[in-house]
Amino acid sequence: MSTFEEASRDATTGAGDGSFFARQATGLVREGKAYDAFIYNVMWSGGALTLAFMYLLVPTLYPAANLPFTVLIAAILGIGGAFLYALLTTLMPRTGGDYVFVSRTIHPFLGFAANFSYVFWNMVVVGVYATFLSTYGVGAILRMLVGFGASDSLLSTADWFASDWGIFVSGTVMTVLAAATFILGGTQLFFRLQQMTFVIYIIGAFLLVVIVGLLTSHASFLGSFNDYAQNLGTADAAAKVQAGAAKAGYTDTGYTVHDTIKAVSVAWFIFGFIFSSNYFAGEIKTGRRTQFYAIPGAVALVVLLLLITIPSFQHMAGRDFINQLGTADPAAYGFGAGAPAYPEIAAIGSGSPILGFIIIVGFLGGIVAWLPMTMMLASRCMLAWSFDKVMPEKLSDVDERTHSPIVAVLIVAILYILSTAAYAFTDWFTTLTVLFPETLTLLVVAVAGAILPYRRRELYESSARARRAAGLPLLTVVGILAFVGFLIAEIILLTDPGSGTSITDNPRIVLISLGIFFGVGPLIYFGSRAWRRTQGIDLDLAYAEIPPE
Amino acid sequence: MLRILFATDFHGAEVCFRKLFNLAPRAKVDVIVIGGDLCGKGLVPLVERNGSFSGEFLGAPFDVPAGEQTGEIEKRIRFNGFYPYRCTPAEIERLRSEPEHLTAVMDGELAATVERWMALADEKLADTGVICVSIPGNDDELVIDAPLDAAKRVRNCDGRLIDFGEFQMVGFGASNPTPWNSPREFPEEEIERRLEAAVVGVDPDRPLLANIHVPPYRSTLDDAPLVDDQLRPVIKGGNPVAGPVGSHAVRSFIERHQPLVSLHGHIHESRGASRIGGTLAINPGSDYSSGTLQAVIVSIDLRKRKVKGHQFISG
Repeated sequence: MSTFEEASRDATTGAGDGSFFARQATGLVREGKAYDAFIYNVMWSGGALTLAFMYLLVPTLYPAANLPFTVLIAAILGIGGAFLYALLTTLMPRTGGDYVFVSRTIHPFLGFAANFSYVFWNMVVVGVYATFLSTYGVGAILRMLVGFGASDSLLSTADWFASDWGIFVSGTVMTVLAAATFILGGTQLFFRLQQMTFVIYIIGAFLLVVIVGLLTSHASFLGSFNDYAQNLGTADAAAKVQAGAAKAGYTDTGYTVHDTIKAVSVAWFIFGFIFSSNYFAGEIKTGRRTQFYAIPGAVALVVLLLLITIPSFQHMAGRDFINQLGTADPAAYGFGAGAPAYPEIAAIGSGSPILGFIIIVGFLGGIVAWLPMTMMLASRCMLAWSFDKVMPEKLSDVDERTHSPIVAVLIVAILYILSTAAYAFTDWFTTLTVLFPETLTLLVVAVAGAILPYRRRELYESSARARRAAGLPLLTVVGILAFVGFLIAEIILLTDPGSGTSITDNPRIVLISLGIFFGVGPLIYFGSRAWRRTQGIDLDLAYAEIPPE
Repeated sequence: MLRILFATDFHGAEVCFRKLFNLAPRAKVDVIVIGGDLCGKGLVPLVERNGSFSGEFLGAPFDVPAGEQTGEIEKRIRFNGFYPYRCTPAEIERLRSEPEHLTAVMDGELAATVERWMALADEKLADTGVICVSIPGNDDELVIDAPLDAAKRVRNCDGRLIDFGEFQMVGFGASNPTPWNSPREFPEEEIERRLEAAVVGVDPDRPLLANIHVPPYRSTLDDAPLVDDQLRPVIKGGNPVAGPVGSHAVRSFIERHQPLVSLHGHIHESRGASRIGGTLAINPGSDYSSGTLQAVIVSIDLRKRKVKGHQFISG
């Protein structure tokens, strides 16, 4: 029975205008709404987290960055990739993302290596989410309650959430809850939770921040900030922020092109993940244009949200003051557990614990939804590896009731907890470390896209996207553009000391990233291939390019 | 050791059918099993006007001179699982206005295609000892039964038990009711009755294999996106809501008779393997619309009556 997946492709044949005669057959369903797939991608992008990074990292790393321009540069570098993934997802629907794009276009070992690396670093980045969940989510809510007049006994609890153990325990609890969601309620429960989270995320993390930012003057904000810090135990905190920043050597130098470009390292966080939706978007084949609304459209919306939120927020808090907040010692102005992230600053500006609560909970919602989404992605990749016999069959065991790959989910959960521990108790990784290795995978996918019309000519020529541009197949052109964008981003990451993967400052992490991609991945693939051969299984068959003639 | 190559749900994609028979020698299999749904989903007319052919495919209009370019268009149409149909403007009008004529033309294309495929299978299997078994699927019109039955090297086991000596195979192509009212659908009770009738006389001392188009209910092989009464996919949170749509009768049949292996299709996106008691049930899925053959190789130790392993193929 064909389902809507193929049906959407069927529906592209011109049915309805009389030029196509459909049989009474299964699967000829009508198109779903691009809007739904769009929601999914927006949730994936980590837009609010990127905004939080900006205001936490930019003051010390790139104080002269013009953030709206930084976001625009990142968007220009990433938009080619958005169209590339949209095209690839349309051409190879239901394929498990880049693992299949690359393995079926270039070579299975490269497909596995690229995907393995991507999944590995996706697990590592969970530690970042755990940190922000605990410190800038739960911890910030408790601190905000004190800041707005609740008992200061909550402050020690708030501070605990920003501690190493607080981060580890919160991240672990969240991981266990995410795993339990899948194991007990399956993907349907998760989707319901995600849907509920989306509204509060957009309202809290973005729209309320914009409204509060536009309606609050800087002077009014400074007054609220002082009142807030007073409740935390520090008087005249705004002045102490300025003094602390001066003591730390901060001076406002205005905007520079150098810092604006370097800060792309932070804004690129969106593009390290927004394409990940192809792992699931492949199942949302609701029409031949859907992916083009859903993936590039999500990029456009997230960029738009950032472009309206940043100026509004800066109107209220002041760019200079935000930089001072980030450079001064937080203890000097009463925020002993750490500098506030943008949701807490917006909450302060709102002057209302209720609005503040909605803002921080909206921010928290994005993180809470992201963790199980990543868990799904990783477990789904493991399923794909297991299907191809690269990994043990046990990984593809799916629960009949919940449709969840229980073993894969449990393995991912354990790895998540290890990642959370690494971020909580060590300084192995910085916030942005994962972007360089993740972009390596994107680069390989761009190459796969560029050569697909030549390597899988029949597939490409038979598709609805078999167009040409500048004398080349459209997909080749888009692949080249995406490659150039990814490459520039990669160069920025490799030359920026703030990225955590600077070739001069962090050569060890760069080598580890390359080693996992080009060493561990191929080792697993070829090791598995040799092991399977002893079992009489020819792994190459799983990927064989079978001639039709 | 018996090696079985199974693929299903080609839906008119000749490229997948050809790939199956080209894979068989490389995979060194003894048996090729086809799980039904051979028929494509529609007819794409190429209207002849003044020596050129025009029409629309994949949302894009075409107008090409007769000859090589027309052949290319037809190849693209077939690749995607549709039937190219050369006709005149008058013929198009007739297809539009006379449903019986459209049905006759469509049936003719379906039967001719299956006939050509069976001839191709006969040719590929000539001088080999490879057994080939097929069934129609719920999407297959009844007109394809004749060419399927007439094939020399392909055995149609729909509703029958075929004894191959070392093993026996039972087949069944129809499905439980779907929202599309496809050509071969039965109520669950009827499926149960027909399946039981098919295995009358089965030898319990020799392995039984099953080739049943629809997967067993709630087996993880039958999760399909649900559709509403407008046949629109039910989507929540940006994701299609999936649910089990397999057959209860097939499940109880497997539980009762415990074939060694039960091969299924029908739900393209529910690729996987699942145990039901001692039976290994497998659905290799289908990706016919991208011209990719999705198949599975199952290795069976007939002496020990044990499945040694299975491997999914996608190529």
